[in-house]
Amino acid sequence: MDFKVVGTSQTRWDAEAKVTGKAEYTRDIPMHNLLYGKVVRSKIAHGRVINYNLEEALKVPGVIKILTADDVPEHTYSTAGHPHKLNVKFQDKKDTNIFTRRVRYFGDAIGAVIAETELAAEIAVNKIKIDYEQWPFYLNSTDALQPGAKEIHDGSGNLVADTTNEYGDVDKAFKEAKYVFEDEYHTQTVQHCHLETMVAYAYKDVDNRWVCISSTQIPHICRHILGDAFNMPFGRFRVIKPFVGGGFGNKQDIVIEPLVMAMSMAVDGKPVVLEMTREELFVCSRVRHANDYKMKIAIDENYHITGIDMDVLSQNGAYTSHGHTIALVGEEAAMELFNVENFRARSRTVYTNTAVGGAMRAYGTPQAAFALNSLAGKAARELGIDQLEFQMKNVPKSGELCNGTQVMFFTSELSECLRVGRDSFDWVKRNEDCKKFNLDNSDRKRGLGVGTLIYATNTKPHSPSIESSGCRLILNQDGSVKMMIGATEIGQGSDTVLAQMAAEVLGISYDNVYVDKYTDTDVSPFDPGSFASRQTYVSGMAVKKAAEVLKVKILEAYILFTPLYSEIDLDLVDGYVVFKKTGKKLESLGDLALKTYYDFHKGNCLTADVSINCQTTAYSGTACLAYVEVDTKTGKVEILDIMNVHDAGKIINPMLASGQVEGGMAMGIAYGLGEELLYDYNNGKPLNNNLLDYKMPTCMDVPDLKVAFVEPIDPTGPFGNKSLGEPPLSAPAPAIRNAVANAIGLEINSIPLTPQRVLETLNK
Amino acid sequence: MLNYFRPKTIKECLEFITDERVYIAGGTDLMVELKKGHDLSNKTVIDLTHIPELSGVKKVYGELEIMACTTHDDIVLNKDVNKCLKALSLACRTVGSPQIRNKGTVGGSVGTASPASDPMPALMLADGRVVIINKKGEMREEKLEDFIIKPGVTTLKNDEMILSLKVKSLEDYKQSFFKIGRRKALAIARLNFAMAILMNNDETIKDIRIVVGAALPVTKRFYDIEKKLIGKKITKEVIEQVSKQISEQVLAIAGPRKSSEYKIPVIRNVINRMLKEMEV
Repeated sequence: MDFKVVGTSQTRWDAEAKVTGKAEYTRDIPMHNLLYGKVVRSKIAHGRVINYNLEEALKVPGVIKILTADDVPEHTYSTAGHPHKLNVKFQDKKDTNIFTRRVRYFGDAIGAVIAETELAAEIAVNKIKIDYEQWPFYLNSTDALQPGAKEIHDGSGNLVADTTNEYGDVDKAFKEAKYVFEDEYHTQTVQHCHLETMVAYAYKDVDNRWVCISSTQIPHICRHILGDAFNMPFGRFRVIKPFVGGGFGNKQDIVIEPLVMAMSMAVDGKPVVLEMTREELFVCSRVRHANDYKMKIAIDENYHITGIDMDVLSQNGAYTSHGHTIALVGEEAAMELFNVENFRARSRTVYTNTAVGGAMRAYGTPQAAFALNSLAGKAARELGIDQLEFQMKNVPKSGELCNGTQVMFFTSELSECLRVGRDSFDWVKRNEDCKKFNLDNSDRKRGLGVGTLIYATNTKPHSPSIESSGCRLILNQDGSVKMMIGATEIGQGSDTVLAQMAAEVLGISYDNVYVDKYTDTDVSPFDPGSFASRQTYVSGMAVKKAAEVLKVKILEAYILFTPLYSEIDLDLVDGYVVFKKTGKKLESLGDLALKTYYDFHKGNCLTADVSINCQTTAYSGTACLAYVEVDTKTGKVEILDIMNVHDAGKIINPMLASGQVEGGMAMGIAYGLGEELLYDYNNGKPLNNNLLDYKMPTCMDVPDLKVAFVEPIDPTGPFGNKSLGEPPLSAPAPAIRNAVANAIGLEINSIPLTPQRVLETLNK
Repeated sequence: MLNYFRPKTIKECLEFITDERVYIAGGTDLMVELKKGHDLSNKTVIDLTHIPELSGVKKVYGELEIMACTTHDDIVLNKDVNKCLKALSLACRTVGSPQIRNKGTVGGSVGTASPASDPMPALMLADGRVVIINKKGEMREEKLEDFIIKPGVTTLKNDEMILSLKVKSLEDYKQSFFKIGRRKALAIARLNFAMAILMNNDETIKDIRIVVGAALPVTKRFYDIEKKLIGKKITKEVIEQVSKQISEQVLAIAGPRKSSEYKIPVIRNVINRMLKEMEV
């Protein structure tokens, strides 16, 4: 396919505004007579508020009102940012109150102060005395499942869900297998750490509707959840999303919006702002589930993986949020990666008295990818075969049908990714170099490793969620185009690539497409929002369709004024209506647009307003190759080289795509080597919920990142494109882990691979 | 009530000293403490960052005098320090981030007596002494080892302040500094070490100095071990023996802790490696 605008590195339209500090993020928006909200957070991990002593706090000058659990609606709602499901069976668990007396984790929201200044609010919060009844608390899945453990949610047995999925004949596969490998793996809790914390305003507008300005990934769903939380019609709410400083899935939960809305409602609709501190964000928003795996694979004499049998405990934290879907998506990643014919997975998602697990970039697949790739690495090592070749043989190829999901791999070029990686990474020679190096050096050992992932695009096939998107295009008087979309820009560049798509179809330049600066539920067409690596694909379909509709209207308008031609003879190229056969420019789009607006008899404004329902998904592939050196005297792991190769179908904007991949790789390296949110087992209190003690890698810790793309044109994607936003981070951790294992000849089955953990393994 | 003073000279500064005084020498610790809820009400905060006399490095007779409010970054850039006490340059280079190195000072680092101080091992390496002045203008000097009693506690009296640090020039010594943090920047030391060695022509040790920081509550120089090494050659056996002894001593002082399982073998390995590198 020949493209003019798609496939080029256009500069994002908001780049200048952002680097010059002119872009308004939520908290930058000025507001008159603003009041400040501050949440009262529990200082115990599990129990009940017996009594609120508010007397001292109410005396603090500037305090307007204090809300407790008794002042908010009694019914519960779900914070998970999934589109609503009509079938009650598939709906998310409604287990959250705006404020609660029942404390389920250290930092649970038990009330709030509204004050004239932020300082007054904070002082008042510290003066509130709470009497608690304290219960035993559980900081990991195993503890929470002990017989007799106090239930975090009544009647749950501390299980969100316990499911077993099976296809093929797993027992037979393992019985007939030439080789069987098994091991146990553990992944840790990490947090998204987006730069802009959770922040929102709420107020009553002049039309008596409730407005929430929020740094969210899902404005339309946010409106729906506000309706649920207050039991009010959805239309009574309006949600506006300004520029967003990152979300990574955390802002796919509606955590603070109902709280700040309740505060505004308590003060007659005066504007209230609620902004989480970094310390709150770490433990009172959402985190990635920590998982414990038992993983087993069956391999035949041709080194073909014939079966997987796995068992996972997924630590969900105190409220359901996205809950069991995280574990189920992990299961699917395991089914898809080697497209095995026989598969069984038991997944248990467990309530614990820790930060709530929710959506986080790549949604349950980094955990599964770590466990499965690590076991594949172990198998290759023990069988004495090359891990990269072994994975290449087993990953699904274009044209296969996925045994687990029954979805076609129309394009699946992961093996090609591995081949490209192998060649440009000098895999074979470097493996030889490692052997020699390791013979010559006792202190330092080198090794290479691979990690891979197959990832769906959008929430299909696992989710019964709707995948729809809307786009409205308006031809301006000068031939430029106004584009209105529900797709939510949160920094990833969706506005830019969607504008490129509209420009492509309409034969105009990228800078002639204007995108809204904000997403506004009153203005922007419906789209569930930014998650599941869906927007370039699903929202792209809406944009493409809208552009095609508008294109036909433009050509029809031309014919209306110049009835010499038939529509099929015409095209839009470089801002002109052209005669297809000769390429002759007939009229500029600007001239035509002016006519369509103002011709006394025939004029009307040309628009297209479409909404699409997407029924397909596409599998993208990711391979990460890592080359490491382990200092066996300190346990320190140094990445000498690392590369991600992606099959994400057609790349719409290479510069933005590389940026996505590099950011994901850095996050993946952090997952593999450094980050971990820790709790104190004495009192259930978080230990390192700040950016000083929670060690994100700095630019000194992240090596140069290599990125390459393999670009098959996927027949389902609007421009042959597939998911790319999330996949980059799942592969580096297992790649690094496998490289370390190859270097030292020992298995390390828990991440992060801190120097201490590596050294302990070496000294065992 | 909180009092805040920002004197321009040492003389002026001494006048403000009261029993409730708190110094800001850079504020890189104090500001963090404040944010954590450290109560400063009824204290007299004396900001030392605008006293030109308190900053800079002087070279006097084989000694360096580093004024208390000299920032880490000033030290990294200082030619005399680079020449005479390389280990200190190396140590200051690893402190926190550029912002912290621009604000944080050596005097502050010594005054807060944090076990994880990076300059401390290098200062101790060079027989560091603290020069102290009191409200009356009387001066005294104290060896760093004596000055620091335990984490966060020094012999500094309420009417005193740190004026400078005096260190011996180790110009002819081969020096090294090594730090292990949780990441490469913006991390305090989990372990840090400083070492200096002077060899005779016959490849025997003329003088050696070994300091271990971070792992211990108070940074320690291993005089007893150093003494036994003088006149000896650095052989494989010697290296093994020294690193074993030091790691055992550290364990004995710090006591077994959760992190010992990691720290003790690493101390042994690092001392081993640093000695090997000294030999080359």
